[in-house]
Amino acid sequence: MNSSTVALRGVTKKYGRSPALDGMDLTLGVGITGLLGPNGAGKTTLLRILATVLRPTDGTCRVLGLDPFQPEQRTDIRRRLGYLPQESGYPRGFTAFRYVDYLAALKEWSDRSARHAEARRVLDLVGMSDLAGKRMRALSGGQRRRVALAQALIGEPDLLVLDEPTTGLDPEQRVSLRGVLSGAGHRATVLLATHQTEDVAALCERVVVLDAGRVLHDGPVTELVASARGRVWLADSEDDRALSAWRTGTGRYRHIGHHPPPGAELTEPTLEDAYLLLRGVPRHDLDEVRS
Amino acid sequence: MSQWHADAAALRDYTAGRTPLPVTASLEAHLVRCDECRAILRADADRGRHAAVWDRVVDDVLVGPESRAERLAMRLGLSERDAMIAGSAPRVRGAWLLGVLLCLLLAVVAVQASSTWGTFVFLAVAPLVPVGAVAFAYGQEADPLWETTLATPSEPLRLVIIRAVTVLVVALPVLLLVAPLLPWPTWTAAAWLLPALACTALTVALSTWFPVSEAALGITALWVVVTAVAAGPGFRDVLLVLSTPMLSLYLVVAVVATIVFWVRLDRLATLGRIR
Repeated sequence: MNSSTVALRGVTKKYGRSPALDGMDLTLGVGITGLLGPNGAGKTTLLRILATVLRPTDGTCRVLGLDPFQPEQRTDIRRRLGYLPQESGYPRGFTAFRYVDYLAALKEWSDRSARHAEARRVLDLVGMSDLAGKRMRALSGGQRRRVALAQALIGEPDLLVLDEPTTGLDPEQRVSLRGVLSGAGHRATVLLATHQTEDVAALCERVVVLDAGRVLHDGPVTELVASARGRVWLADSEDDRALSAWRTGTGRYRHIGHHPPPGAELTEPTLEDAYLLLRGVPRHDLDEVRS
Repeated sequence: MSQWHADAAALRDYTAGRTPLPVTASLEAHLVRCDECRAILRADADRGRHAAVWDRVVDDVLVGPESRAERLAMRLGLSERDAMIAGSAPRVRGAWLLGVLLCLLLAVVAVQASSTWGTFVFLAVAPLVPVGAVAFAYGQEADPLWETTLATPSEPLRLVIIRAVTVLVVALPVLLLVAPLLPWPTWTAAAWLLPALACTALTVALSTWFPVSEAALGITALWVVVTAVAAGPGFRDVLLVLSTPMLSLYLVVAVVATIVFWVRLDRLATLGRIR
């Protein structure tokens, strides 16, 4: 394991009386870590704390070896941080280039030509060079998301905190962004919250699953997938004992659970299967989890 | 074709951007007609510099024109970065200008109306203009980029001050021009700045607990009630809000609120309550 970039000990965050994070311990080093969990599991709260924009109610937090809630150290962390929030708005009238340029200025890129060169570089990385002069409001949701991701990549940060970076992207764009993120993951710590288990499977060495503000699983992706081996079947009919089951495009039923349906054959589990199995999601909640 | 050709040294200076404007114009007029000089220019050209110039042109097109606020801020001596922050305020919330203009229009209309009513309206509205400026300057409601901005190393206080001042630079001079038109003693034409200062300081202090828009709304309601109560029936005693005890109170409130804001300043560097 590489030396840790992020270390949380007993971190709790409460909104009113309800905890969004409940005594969380987490250590992250260089590489890409995927963060999975249902809505309300505490993913965004965790990312906001790591991005130094939200204070925990309790617990200790070290980011890049510094205390994010000491003003001077926080500024130092922010100099080495790239953050993509879940909802990233845009000022009216900004072009994509202007958006990135403005945020680069806030990130202390004061030299105009160096800043513009950096803006061009990151827009190129996310495949938005050709649309750099277009107004943000004229871009599609996926294109705006890529521009927002571009600003997080300014200055090759040591810590990248990304909240659902692939939302709204088409498959080609997602594959292209995986290339960008996997490049960043060689030298930086990347924490990636998503509902797309395929992205985690394709990109991440490690996966953290949150549920109700607690860590449900923390380990290599391969380990989580392996935990579902022998518990995923394909069958011609649905079995009520399955934890989760759905009809696939081939007409056969994919069953996840602890009891094999009659006449079923075992199949290789995916990360999604393992995630559903881990969470033990009742069948009537399956649609919500998969959405 | 011209028999005259440009001097080699002049062409080198032109390429390096060192020629004065009249010489540049003269050379360019010649170059568009002379293949030979253009060929010399091409051979001597510093490719790197041309690439840099081209990049600059492309960047300027991509960035788009600077806003008036940005140009004004740079003329006033702000750095390009600070001018960008100032210039983003009207873009962040275009409504601010409309709000300020409505306030001013109201104040002018008040001046034209009966003297006591006009004075009441001015006193009820003018001190709230800086409050509006602050309300539209920062926070999750006012700035769609606020969360992203917070995660940058820029100082939130600097951002708040630059944006609020940008609005005030436009609004305050107009109010200061309108104030002497009111039928009141000369000193009171400036005295309203003290409650304005108190309201603004209270708003920023409260914004360390509540969203700034809610703080501004609360202070607005409080100030309107204070002026209405002080004015009494028929708004006859409207200048009571500018009496010496009241002015002393505003001063104390402004000082205390500023101290509270300063002590709790670090709260601006993180998100407030999450909705």
